[in-house]
Amino acid sequence: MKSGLKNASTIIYVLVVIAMLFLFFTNDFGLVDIHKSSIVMAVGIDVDGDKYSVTAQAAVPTPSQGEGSTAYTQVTGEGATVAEALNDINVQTGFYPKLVFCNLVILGESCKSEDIFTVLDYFYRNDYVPLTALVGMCGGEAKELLGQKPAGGDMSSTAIQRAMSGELKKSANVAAVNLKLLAEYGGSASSSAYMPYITSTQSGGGGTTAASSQSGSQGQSGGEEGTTQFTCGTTAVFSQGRFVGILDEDQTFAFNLLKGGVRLAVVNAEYEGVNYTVGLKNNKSSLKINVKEGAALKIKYRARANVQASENNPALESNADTHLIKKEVLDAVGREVEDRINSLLQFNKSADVLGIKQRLYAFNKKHYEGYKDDILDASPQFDIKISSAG
Amino acid sequence: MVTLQAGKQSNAAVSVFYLKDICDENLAQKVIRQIEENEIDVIADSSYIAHFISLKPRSLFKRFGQAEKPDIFCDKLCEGRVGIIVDGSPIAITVPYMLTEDFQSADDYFVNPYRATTLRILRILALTVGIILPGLYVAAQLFKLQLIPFKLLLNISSSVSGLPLSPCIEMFLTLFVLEVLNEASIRMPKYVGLALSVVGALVLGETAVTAGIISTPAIIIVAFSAICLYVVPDLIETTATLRWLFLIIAGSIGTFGIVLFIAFLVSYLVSEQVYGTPLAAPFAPLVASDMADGLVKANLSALDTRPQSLNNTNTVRYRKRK
Amino acid sequence: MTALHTRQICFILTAYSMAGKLLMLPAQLAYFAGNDLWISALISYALQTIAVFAASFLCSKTDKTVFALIKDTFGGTVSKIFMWLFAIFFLLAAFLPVYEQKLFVHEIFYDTVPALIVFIPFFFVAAYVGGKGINNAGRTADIMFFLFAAAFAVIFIMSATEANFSWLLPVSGGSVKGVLKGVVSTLYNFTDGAVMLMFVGRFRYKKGDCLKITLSYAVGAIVIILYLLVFYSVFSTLSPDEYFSIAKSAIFFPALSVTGRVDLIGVYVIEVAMLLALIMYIQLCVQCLNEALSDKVKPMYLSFIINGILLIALIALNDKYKALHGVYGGILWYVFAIFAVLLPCLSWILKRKREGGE
Repeated sequence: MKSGLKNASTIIYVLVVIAMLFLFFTNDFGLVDIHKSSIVMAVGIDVDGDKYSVTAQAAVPTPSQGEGSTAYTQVTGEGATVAEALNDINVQTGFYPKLVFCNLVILGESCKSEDIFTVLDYFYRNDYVPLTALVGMCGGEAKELLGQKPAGGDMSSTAIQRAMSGELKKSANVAAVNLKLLAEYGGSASSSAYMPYITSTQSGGGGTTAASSQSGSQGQSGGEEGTTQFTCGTTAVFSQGRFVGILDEDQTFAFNLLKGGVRLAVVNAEYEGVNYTVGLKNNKSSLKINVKEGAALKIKYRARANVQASENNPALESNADTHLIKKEVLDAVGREVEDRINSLLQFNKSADVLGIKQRLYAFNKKHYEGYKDDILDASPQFDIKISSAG
Repeated sequence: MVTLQAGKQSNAAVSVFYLKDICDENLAQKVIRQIEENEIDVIADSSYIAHFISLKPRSLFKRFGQAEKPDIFCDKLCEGRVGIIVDGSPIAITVPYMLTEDFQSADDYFVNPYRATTLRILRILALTVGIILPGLYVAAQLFKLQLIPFKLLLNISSSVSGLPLSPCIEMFLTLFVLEVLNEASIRMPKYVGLALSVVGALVLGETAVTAGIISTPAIIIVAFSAICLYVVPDLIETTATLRWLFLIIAGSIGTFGIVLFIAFLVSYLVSEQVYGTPLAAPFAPLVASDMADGLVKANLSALDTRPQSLNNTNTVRYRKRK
Repeated sequence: MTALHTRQICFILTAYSMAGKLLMLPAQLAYFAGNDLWISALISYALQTIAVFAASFLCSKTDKTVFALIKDTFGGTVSKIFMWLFAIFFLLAAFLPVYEQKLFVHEIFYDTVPALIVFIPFFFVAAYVGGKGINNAGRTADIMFFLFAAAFAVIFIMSATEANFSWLLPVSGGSVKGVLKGVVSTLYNFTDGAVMLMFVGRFRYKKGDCLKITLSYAVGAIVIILYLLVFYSVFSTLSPDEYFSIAKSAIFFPALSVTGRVDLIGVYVIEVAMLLALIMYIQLCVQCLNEALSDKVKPMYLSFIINGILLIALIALNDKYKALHGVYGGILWYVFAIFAVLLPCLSWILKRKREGGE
């Protein structure tokens, strides 16, 4: 019995080794390895009637890789859903589009008529798509935007991501958002979401260099002819998944100030006909809801300012206190900030992008039912103090 | 010291050493009994004796310590071990054995303890990297691209695009070439050493990459892995085998296979004992006092007791006179 | 018989207990209790802490195992019945976590969904290690505790940078029914009271060990609750969908965009601890069966049989996780309540009955 069991264990051991070696040398799991993968960096989605058109921009490994340029290919697939469109890409190219490196999702202008969470449903269901992917909306077709050549020889998706970078977010110029934050805000009591609105401007060369419309296009780092610059200074706002409107640059600036996380914001203010460009550091903002005597919004903002440039040329003066800002100028800056916030609050009445209802729900749940319909119309009380740095 | 005759034909002198007031007498007797119980024609080397005294000779992990220098041998005896010297063999054997022994070097006791600790941690890290890296590289390419940073992934992808071999076969071949070169460099006559170096470096290395048979990252990884394993030369037999095992497992099952095999190794090592001393001591079971000369190397005054894991009879080895 | 050390038990009840609660538990609690998921966990942990305390306090009164105590009180037959019952309990306690482990491996270790076959090697390893006894579990805990703690700390810190704690508000904003449903549906994750009961009589008790063991468990509990808070603060409304959050919560750390997914190294270390924690249940099952069969069958063979049963069940119930969870959370929850909460407390009373009878 004992030797029988010993023989059996030896046989099992040998069989396991043979199976492992077989699997090792054939690698026949049906899995998709590096040779068969297409590394998708960005996805653009356009809606055409009942169909979705998905453009995938994938990095192409070439011997020139690593010399500062990145080759890419762009393929468009179509289908009744985003998932079907991606499958169409697989059918067209023979490469399996791996979205694990997808860092950017662009919604074309045609998505305005759709519920964005229906459009983005695939990305939330797919466990392999990272929730860190940035999301943005553009005018025109997302396919066309991705097909444009940016200055500097990068892929368009890299340039767009740079335009939505954390650095710009910290300077209050861009309201960048990723898939996670988009769903969080959309699923909150405020039911509103936002994303940068991408605009592109051509420079040099002639005409727009659009991507080939049919199956795909090959892109390579090129010269400076017909290059595009991407900016994300405005913000598209959605309420309950539907497009509501666009925040302009000033409103976006105010939005970022109130959201927090701004390191150095630059704002221009005019005083006695002179323009002062002021840098705002140590930004601290809060938005509180006071429910003691009816619902009221209390907006508090603190910052330290220094003049970055002025039409007065103070640098030529011999005064040692040129880094200090006159109180009147600080007041003018404060008024400018207040105006921008007011403009944002006006917009906020149509879509609670500031998350005021969510704040009411989180911090004053007892009063939520009573005030949730009126809170957006509540008059704000401002407490803005900007002091001079130094 | 007890001298025995071993080997029916060779009659080799085998001397068993132990310190009576430190080492457990039963241990010494057990070792002597193990040697006497085995009959063989020739004892060509001390490793034959090691085979006899290893109660599990088929284990992948060795179960005896080795010492080539007299000072190391004496130090091990003073810790409560039994030492065996075989006539004609330059390598002495010591038991019981703990895995951490091979990570300790004689230099650790001569240099600054901070430097010694850094070097020990470096050895463990180097060994871990050397064993796992080739397998992890293959698993990342086949199963989990996210493990590789994106820009590096593009470089690797461009290096491997167009190669006729799958990542696992490419790594298998590269490791095979390394093992062949290793073996040949030990066996070959000295006067062909230069020619073989040229063949190894230029033909098998650079030309193979240029010809598109293997990729540059594979060569870098295999070369680095080989260097890492030689940081702990006493364990090279075990670690080289483990490297192959990890490669096969990673290539067939992927990163989960690596993790599973690590779990298996941990379970295996903690349950193994050599003459009552756990192989994974002082980590498992955790013996706090022995940790002063385990992963870290404390200064001499902190090493006042002998390793408790060795079950010695006299635990005090350093005391300051008042 | 003394197979373990107090320190090893503390390590098991901290590291292995924590490791077993990082897979589905956060997402499931978020599904039922919303932002009050930490309250559900607190209730479950409070019950388990009492159970662990009761079992470890029993150790201060006796050096016999719980089955020996039952035999002394109710006779050999009842003791055998309990051995079989506990063996079945640990088999049940192991199965759904093994299933979840399979899902975790398929999602986190591979870029595309692999075949079931990739998980089968786990059973070979579990079969080998399962027969080694709980002594092996203690020794592996000696090593894995520190590695797990380091890896978990790194993941926790990386996750916390993205946390927005306002998502946890309002406190107690959800329904009491949801919180209790969360407790009941996830009770199968909380079996530490039963595990501690198996350790009774298997280590040399010294004065103060009861407090040490209970405190160790409580520390693990606090850490997990903190993790749940961070988890919900990171994912908020997405939380119910974020299974295997331990591998997802750290991806928002800014440095990862440059270095790649180095957090996966921490996840893999935690995975080693998870695998060994799972195998510990198999070891306990083998232990119970071995005693029930009076050491007539070698533990290694029992381990093979148990793993064979688990493998067959896994294959048969492939793609039926929702139904299984419904059974565990909706029907079998009382089994876990009895074995992991009630019996450890009752065992202490059991000892008092024995003293009264003498």
